Amino acid sequence: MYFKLAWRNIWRNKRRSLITIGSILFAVFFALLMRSFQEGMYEMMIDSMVSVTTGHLQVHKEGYWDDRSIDNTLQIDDKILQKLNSIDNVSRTCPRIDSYAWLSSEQLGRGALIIGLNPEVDVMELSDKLVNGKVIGIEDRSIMIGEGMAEYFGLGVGDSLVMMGQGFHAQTAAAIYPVSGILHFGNPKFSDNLVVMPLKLAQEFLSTENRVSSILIELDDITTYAEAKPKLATLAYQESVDVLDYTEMIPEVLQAIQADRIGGKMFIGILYIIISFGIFGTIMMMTAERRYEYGVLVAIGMNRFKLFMITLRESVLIALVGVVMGFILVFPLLYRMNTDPMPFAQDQMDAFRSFGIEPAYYAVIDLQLCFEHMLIIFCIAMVVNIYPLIKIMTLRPVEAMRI
Amino acid sequence: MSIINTHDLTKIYNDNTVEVRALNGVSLKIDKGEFTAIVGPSGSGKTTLLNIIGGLDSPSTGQVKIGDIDITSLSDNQLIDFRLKNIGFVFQAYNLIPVLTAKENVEFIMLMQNRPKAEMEERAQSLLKAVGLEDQMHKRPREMSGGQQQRVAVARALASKPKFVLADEPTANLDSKTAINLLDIMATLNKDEDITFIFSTHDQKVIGRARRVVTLEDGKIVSDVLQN
Repeated sequence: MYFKLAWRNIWRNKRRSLITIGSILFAVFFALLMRSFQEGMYEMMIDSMVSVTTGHLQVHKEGYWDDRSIDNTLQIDDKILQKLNSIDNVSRTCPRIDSYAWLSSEQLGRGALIIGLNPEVDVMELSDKLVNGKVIGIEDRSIMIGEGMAEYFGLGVGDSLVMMGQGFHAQTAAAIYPVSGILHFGNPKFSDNLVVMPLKLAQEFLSTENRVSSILIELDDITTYAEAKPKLATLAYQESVDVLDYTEMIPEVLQAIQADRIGGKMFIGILYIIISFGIFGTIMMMTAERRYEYGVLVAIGMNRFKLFMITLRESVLIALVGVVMGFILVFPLLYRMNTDPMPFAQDQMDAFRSFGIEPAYYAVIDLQLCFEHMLIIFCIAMVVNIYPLIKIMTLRPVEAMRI
Repeated sequence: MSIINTHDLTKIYNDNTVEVRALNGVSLKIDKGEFTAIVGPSGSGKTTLLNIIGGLDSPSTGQVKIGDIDITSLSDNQLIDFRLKNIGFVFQAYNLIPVLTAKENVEFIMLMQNRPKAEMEERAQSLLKAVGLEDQMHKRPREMSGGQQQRVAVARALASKPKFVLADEPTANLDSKTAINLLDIMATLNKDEDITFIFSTHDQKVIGRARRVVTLEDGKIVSDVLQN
């Protein structure tokens, strides 16, 4: 009956309760929408960084991350790749070799990042980025370049590019390779400066034989990276290794995300403060209106704490109705934006692509986020109930019943 | 055997400038089964006396014993619990919970006493029947007349099985016919079930039905008369 009493009390002043519920609904709707988009954008940023450059985890020769020299590469064989692949939750392993080279064609020259990879297994989905030509095969003796570079050198598919650099232990690396494909990268750095070549060809060019700069590891679930990390580190490598996770490899990106996230939370915080005053106003009026009734209830023997629990139930019920309605309204929108992200306007697309981010409104559906916002609303309901708590605990029935 | 025993009660209100002596040495014994009216003009101290006997207010000096318990020495929480278990209240303005039905209002006080649900339902129904409201059980207070609401209040006061019922001006808001009807019900409950009623009033109809009339003037008992 206490629940029934609280529920009916809410509807004693329908308009006021509806306004309060509406303000909670709006807060939950807006806060969840904003935070889900925000987290969605972060997820896409991390995903784009991880998929092109780092993977979820990386295995290197010890010290490579601090001194990324071709001499600091790690010797591997097929057995170690098989063992890495057999670890739980590892979805693929991508050996890569990275270096730099000077490229030239006719009168033009440019420095470039060279990535040698196995196109059949690598996290960089070359076929998705191909705009002209064909994707290289592992045994091919050709290269792929970004659109920006192709434009700079005026190259097309079938043209050749001279590459010069320093190989393993200061050996000369020089060769001429035909271009078999042109790739599109959202990030202009990659578009202008990246050469992708088959791993074997890159190892031959750099004279590293079976050495790699890193083994990128992709997991089925990115959140399990901490569990996978020690398993990767304890395999029988031929040399000492370091295993880094993506949080160690892109800390500046994660710090920027964290700073932006705090900004978003502060904005939502201000919204919640405004909503808190709305709820507090309702509770204050409810308490003032029912002072007489509280006096009667205490007079006939109602325990003050039980009486407070009724008012608390009312606040929690109002909050619950507002939160549930907010969820009901926001979820279809979030689901739509999660399964089929809406593209940005054309002028915004280029800006986002330049950061390597897919230019679309993508929202995460995160139950923890929902729980957090529900908790915030309930905490507000609890805090504003300090007012009736004080009023009820200090109420003198004779005075309260005096008209 | 007296169930209420007040000894030399005084109640002084101070509003910083003027001292008001609402009760001035009131000593009163009320036995079980009495049907007592406390009468007197406005400001004579009737309501103050009832509030102190009911544990809603504390005396400036003096003592109130209900049975063997000196209620003036109880803490606020102990007093609330004491009221719940020992005293039934009927107020001038009915004071039912507006969002509960008549039956729920009667059950509510038993809920506070943690009585079993079946007992609550059975007792609420029988009490509402006793006050002639068996066909109004599921109506909310706003759907009932003043007399009907006051009868629900009487049923509620009795639901907790109190030692006595305090009624402050119970007929003040009722017309004559309804007031007589209510008094009949209270008198019947007093006679048949030996329930002690103490009410403050200046309504002659109520005074005429009381078996004992205690008259207060300026905070003092000026007469204490038994009536047939």
